[in-house]
Amino acid sequence: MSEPDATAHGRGALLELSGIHKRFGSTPALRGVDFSVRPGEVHALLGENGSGKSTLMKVAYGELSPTSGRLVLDGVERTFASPQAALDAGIAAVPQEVPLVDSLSIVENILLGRLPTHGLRIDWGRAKRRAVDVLTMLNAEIDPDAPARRLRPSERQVVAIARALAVDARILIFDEPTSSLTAEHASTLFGIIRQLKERGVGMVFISQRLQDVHEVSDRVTVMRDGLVAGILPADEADHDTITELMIGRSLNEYFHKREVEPGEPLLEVEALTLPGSFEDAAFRVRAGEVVGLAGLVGCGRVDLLRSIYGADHPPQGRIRVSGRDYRPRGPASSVRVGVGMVTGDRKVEGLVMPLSVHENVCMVRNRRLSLRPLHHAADRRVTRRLMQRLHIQAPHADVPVQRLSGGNQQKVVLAKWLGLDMKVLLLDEPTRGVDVGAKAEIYRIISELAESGVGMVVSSSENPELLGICDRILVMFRGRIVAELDAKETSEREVVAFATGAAA
Amino acid sequence: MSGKSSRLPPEQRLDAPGAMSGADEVQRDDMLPDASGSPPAAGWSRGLRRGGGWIYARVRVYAGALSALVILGAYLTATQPFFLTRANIYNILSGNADLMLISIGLTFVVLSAGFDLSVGAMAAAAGLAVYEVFQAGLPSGIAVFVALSLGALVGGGVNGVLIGKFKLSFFVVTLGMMSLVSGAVDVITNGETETIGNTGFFYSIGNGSVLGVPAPIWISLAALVIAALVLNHTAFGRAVYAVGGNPEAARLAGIDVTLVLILVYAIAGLGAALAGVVDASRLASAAPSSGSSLTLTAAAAVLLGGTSFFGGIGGVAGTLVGVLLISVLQNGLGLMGVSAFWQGVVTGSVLIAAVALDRLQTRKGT
Repeated sequence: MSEPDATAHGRGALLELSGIHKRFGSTPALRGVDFSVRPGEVHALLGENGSGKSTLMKVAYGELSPTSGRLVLDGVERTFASPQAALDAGIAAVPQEVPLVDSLSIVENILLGRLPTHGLRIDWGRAKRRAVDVLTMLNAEIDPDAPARRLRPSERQVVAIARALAVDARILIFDEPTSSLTAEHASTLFGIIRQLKERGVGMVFISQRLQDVHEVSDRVTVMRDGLVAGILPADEADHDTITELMIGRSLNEYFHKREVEPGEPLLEVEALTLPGSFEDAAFRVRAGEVVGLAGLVGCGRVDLLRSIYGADHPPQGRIRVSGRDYRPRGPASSVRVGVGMVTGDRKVEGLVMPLSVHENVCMVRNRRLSLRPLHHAADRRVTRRLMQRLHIQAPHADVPVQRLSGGNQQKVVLAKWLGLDMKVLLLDEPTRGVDVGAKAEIYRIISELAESGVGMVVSSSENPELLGICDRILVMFRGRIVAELDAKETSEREVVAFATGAAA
Repeated sequence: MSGKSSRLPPEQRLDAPGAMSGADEVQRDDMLPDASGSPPAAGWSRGLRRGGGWIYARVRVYAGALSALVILGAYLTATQPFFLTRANIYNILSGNADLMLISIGLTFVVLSAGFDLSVGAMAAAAGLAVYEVFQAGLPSGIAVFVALSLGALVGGGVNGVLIGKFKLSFFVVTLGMMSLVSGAVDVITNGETETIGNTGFFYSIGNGSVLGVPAPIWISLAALVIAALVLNHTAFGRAVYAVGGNPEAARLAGIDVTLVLILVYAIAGLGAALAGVVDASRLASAAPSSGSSLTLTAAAAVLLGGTSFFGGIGGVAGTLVGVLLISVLQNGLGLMGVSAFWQGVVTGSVLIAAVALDRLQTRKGT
């Protein structure tokens, strides 16, 4: 057993998992997985939702105990009864959404549960020195006395990392750390990760963004169906290889972009301004067209979409829908004229988590507060048809959406707007935080909608996605549309140049 | 004996889905881990689960309270010969019609992720309104209409508008309203109970009977059925759930969240006023303090019935179970000769135990 381990991945490993099996009831989640982390290494772990990567990491940081298999830390076989036990042994997890106590100070959050004491009294002086030490180590300019609620998302992650370093963790497990970060904040995080590498900390980096993986990792393990589908050095891990390993099929059908002859203009925007957000926006979307909105987070593209939909303050300027002047007064009025919005953050604005798939799918259909009896049978048929069309995987239509995977949840957000004959759909990050398979299906739906004559505006921070599915791409920079590019003729480089103001 | 069996149906009806849910629950818990990603199971079992899942999803939230009610009912039937008699059952249901009506209205508010502390005070105010209209020499119909309108208007027009439109905290608004309304009632009555001498239509609301069943029971039943229909079979009802579960998602789906909130507080006010009217009729008086304990008992009933205080989960079927559990508990303690002072202690303990049990169960499931 030790022979292949040593050659394949085990040599000099800080943490080594071998032959890990994990079953939930009768469902195998992990079917004999080997995984290791060396000192000073960033090991990227990729895979679709449900491939077992999260389960594997939960085994590593003590959240789950494996059905069988060995966990060796520093050459000693260990079993962890809880995340606390793993943390004490030096394995810390940095979760996707960092649980901080918002009302407490940064110092207290960093040393939560282990504040140094002087007799019965907390030694605040020592606590603060310790917190400042680790924050300095991370080059973080964060006021240690400020309450955690003032932190930005990237800073929350820094505090979570500081918390791990305060207990001298030698292994950090990042679970999709960049999914809620702006590009700028993500690069700060990558800087920190590089520093930690030099200090010999071993890291696991779970992500769905391949460019992040290239940015920081040394090795890449791709999982599929509870097995390791492939393990390769990061410089050999190009987009196509990784994607094909993840989805277990070829990429040809990944971006379903079919040519559609554009029809009459459905959405026309002129001199649209919302002070502080965007200025003088003008564009046109024709039937069957998919128009991309690219730009850094904070460039105003989300505000632009939301204000066309009437989600927030009404903008100044002119909007025409199907040639008729339209002034958004709220989501209800927009839906009435045929403008729908596939919202970005599904947990916050897209879904009512405790309600069923069926209820969420039919929410827009049944938005009017009528006391007439609902057409249950018709609604059920709609839900069934949409679940089939979007391949929404759920045990049944009455399961609460919170039980679904991210990809399936996102498809439910999309399903709300299908079958309503919307003329224009505004999509904000339609594939954020979903796996490759679900992305492919969402692209297919967008393409089908375009074929059926819907005009769409897609705002996305993933430029390859915009290049793949859009006809035209509008690039925003500091609240202004600075470029209109033909998706077939432009490149990611050009989009980024405009988005960062370099080409303006 | 024949009286006994004819009283059984309500409990049997409750018992049946509960028993089913027990078996179903095990199956569902096993399924959870793979609910996220694995392909759907074979056709027949999927169909079974879908059907079972529907019942399960509805009963699960109050399965604990329902079991407690069944066990308590069985125990009292076995030990207290008077418990399962027509007279006692009518007494329980009729005597707690006020609690039932307030709890039904409150369920709407709690489903929308809010709360209304002013319902007890509004019930008292409704009784007083009836008294005042009679003093003015007007007939029963107008008295009832004025009382109910007052409840709906204060609930929707003041509580609902302040909470829904001006986004004030429901706690502050309804706490203030509770104090304001009960204070106003005290000022008008000088703290004294006013006797209502009506013997016509108004008297029959609390004391009449239809087909041998006391009128308050019919009123509760009607309110319950209407509430269940509205919540489950109208767009407004489903919007209440959506607003409670995630107001932002509901708003962006085109639902008028402000209007939903105004309406749920109007319904809570209406339920409270109806409870006040029934009480005023039954007791032939308007007592300023009559509603004071009802608010928190109703909150306990709604909670016991599995409606989540975070909104979006629950319903009036659970509230019925919660109200019955509290009512039967109080009745049973009375039958066993336990001091009335103990009733609060027992109700509180059952409430905490039920919520704790539910919490443990959910944690095990996920």
